[in-house]
Amino acid sequence: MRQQDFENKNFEKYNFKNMEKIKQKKEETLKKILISIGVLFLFFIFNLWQSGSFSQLNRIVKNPKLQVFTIVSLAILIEGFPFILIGSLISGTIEVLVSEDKFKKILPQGKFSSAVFGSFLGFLFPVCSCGEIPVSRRLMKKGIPTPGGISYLLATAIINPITLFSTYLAFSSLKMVFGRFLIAFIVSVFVGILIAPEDKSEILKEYEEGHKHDENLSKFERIFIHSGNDFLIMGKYLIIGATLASLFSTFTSREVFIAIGKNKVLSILSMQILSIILSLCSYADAFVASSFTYLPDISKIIFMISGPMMSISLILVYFAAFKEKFVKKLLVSVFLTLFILGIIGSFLGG
Amino acid sequence: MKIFKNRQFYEFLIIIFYILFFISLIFTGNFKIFVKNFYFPYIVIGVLILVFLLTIEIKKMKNFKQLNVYDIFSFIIFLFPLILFILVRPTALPTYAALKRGIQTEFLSKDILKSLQEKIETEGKYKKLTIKQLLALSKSKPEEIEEKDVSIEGMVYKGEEKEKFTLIRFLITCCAADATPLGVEVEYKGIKEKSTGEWIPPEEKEEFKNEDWVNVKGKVKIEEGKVKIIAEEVKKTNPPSDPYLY
Repeated sequence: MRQQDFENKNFEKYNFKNMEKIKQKKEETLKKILISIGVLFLFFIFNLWQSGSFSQLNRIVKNPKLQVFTIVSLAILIEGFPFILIGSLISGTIEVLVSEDKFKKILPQGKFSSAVFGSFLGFLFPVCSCGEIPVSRRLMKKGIPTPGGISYLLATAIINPITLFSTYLAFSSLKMVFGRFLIAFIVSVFVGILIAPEDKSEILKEYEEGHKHDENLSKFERIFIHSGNDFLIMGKYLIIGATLASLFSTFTSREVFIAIGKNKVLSILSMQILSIILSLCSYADAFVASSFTYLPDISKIIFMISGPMMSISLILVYFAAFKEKFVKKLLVSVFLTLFILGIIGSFLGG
Repeated sequence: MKIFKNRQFYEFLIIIFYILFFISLIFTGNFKIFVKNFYFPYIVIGVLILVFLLTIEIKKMKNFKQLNVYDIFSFIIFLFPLILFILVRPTALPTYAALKRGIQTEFLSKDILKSLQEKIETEGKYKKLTIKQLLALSKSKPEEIEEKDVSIEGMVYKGEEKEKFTLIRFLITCCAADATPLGVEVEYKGIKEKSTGEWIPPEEKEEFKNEDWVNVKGKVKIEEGKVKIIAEEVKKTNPPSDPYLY
C-alpha cells in the first residue's frame, strides 16, 4: 500500500513537472511570436520611412476594403461592448448578492422543467447576445441546473420582448414571429436537455476570480471586481470574434449565399453559414433576413435563430467562458438540430 | 520599473483607453459611423461601468501580480481595434460594401407608412426625398411619384454605361454590420438648358467619380415596377452629418 502511495506521489510529481515544462515551452514560443511580430512591425515602419512613402500610408488607409473591414469590426465591438459590460455587471451582482441555497429553493430542479424555465428567463434578464454568456455562466455556478443554464444561454437573445417585436416590425407577420419563437424554444430546450452533464464543472471554465475572500472589500467593490474579470476575459474574445466576422463579411459576397439558397436543403445550410459569418445583433437580423426576398420563410427563420445562438463572435466568447469539449458539443448539436428542424419545416411548407 | 511588470497596470491601461475611446466617440458624434442613435444610451452606460471598473483597478494596482506573456497578448488584442480606429480614420461605408451586399432597388417594410407621413420638404419645384422614401413610394403609391420632380442625395456608383450611374445610401437597423444598401438608377446625359430645354454635356470640372456625394435633381420614371431618375442636374455635395438612413 505504501509502495503504491509512493508511486502515485512520484507519478503526480513527475506529471506536475511535465506540465510545468509544457507551460514554460508554450510561454517561450509565445514570446518568440511576440518578438517576431514586433521586429516585423519595426521593419515595416523603417521600410516606409526609408522609401519616403509615408504619404502612401494615406492611400492605403483609404482603401475601401480596409474601410469596410474597420467599420464593420468596430461596429460589432461598439454594439457588443456595452452589453458585455452590462452582462458582466449582472453576473457580478448575482455572484455577490444571491446565495446558492436561495437559488436552489426558488428554481425548478428537474431537467425538463429547468430547461423550459431557462428558455423564458430572457424576459427577466433581457441581455443581448453578448451579455447572456457571463450571466448564464454565473447562473450555472450559483446552482441553476445545467439544462436551464444552457437553454437560457441559447434562447435569451431570441425569446425576449425586444427581439420578438423587431421581428414583427421587419416582417409585419405574426407567423414569422411565432415560427422564430417556436423553433428557438424547441432548439434551446432540446439541446439543453441533450447535452447537459450532471456536474456543472464539466461545463464551466475555471478562471481566477480575483479577491474572492477579501474581507476588507465592500459588497459593491466585490461586484465590480467580478464584473471586471468577466469583462477582461470575454471582451478579448469578442474582439477576435468581431475581427473574424468582419473579415468574412468584407470579402464574401452575400449574393453567393442567396444563389445557393434556391435549393431547399442548401438554402437552410447556406443561411446557417451566412448567419454564423455575419454575427448580427439579434435585434437587427430580422431586418436583414426580410431583405432576402426570394428565400423560403423557413430559411429566413433558421437564419434568425442560428445567428443569435452561434455566430462567430459568440463562439469565441463561448470558448472564453466554457470548457472546450462542452462548446464543441453545444455547437454541433445546435447546428444539426437547427438543420433538421429547417428541413422538416421546409417539407411542411414553410 | 516595477510597475511595468505588474499585470494590474495593463488592465488599468486597457480600461482607461476604452473609456477615452468611447468618450471620443460620444463627443465627436463619430459613433454614428458604426451604430444607430438607439445605442447611444448603452454606450453611456458602458462608459459609466468602465469608470467604476477603473476605480477598482486603481485599488487593485497596489497588489503586485507578475506579468506573463499571455497578459501581453491580451493587451495587444485589446489595443488592436483602437490602433485600427486611429490609423484608418473611418468615415462611412463605401460603395464597395454595397456591391458585396447586393444593392436593393426595391424596398417595402412596416415603417413605410411612417416614412410616407413624414413631411416632405420642397426645393423650388423639386420634392426633397431620401432614397428610402422614393423606393417606398414607388412601390406603394406609384401614381404620387411618377413624372414628379425630385431632389435626392446619395453616393455615386458608376457601372459600365457612361450615361448611367447608381445613387446609393445605406439603411441601418442597429449597426454598420447590418447596413442594407438601397440604390436607384440615374440617367444622366448632362445638364438641361433652362431656356431651350436642350441637353448640354457636363464639363470636365463638373465630372464626379465613384464614392462622391452628389445631389441629383430630376424626373422620376417607373418602368415595369422599377424606379429611375432622369437627371437634369447632378451636383457634388458634402457628405451629410448622418452618413446612413434609418
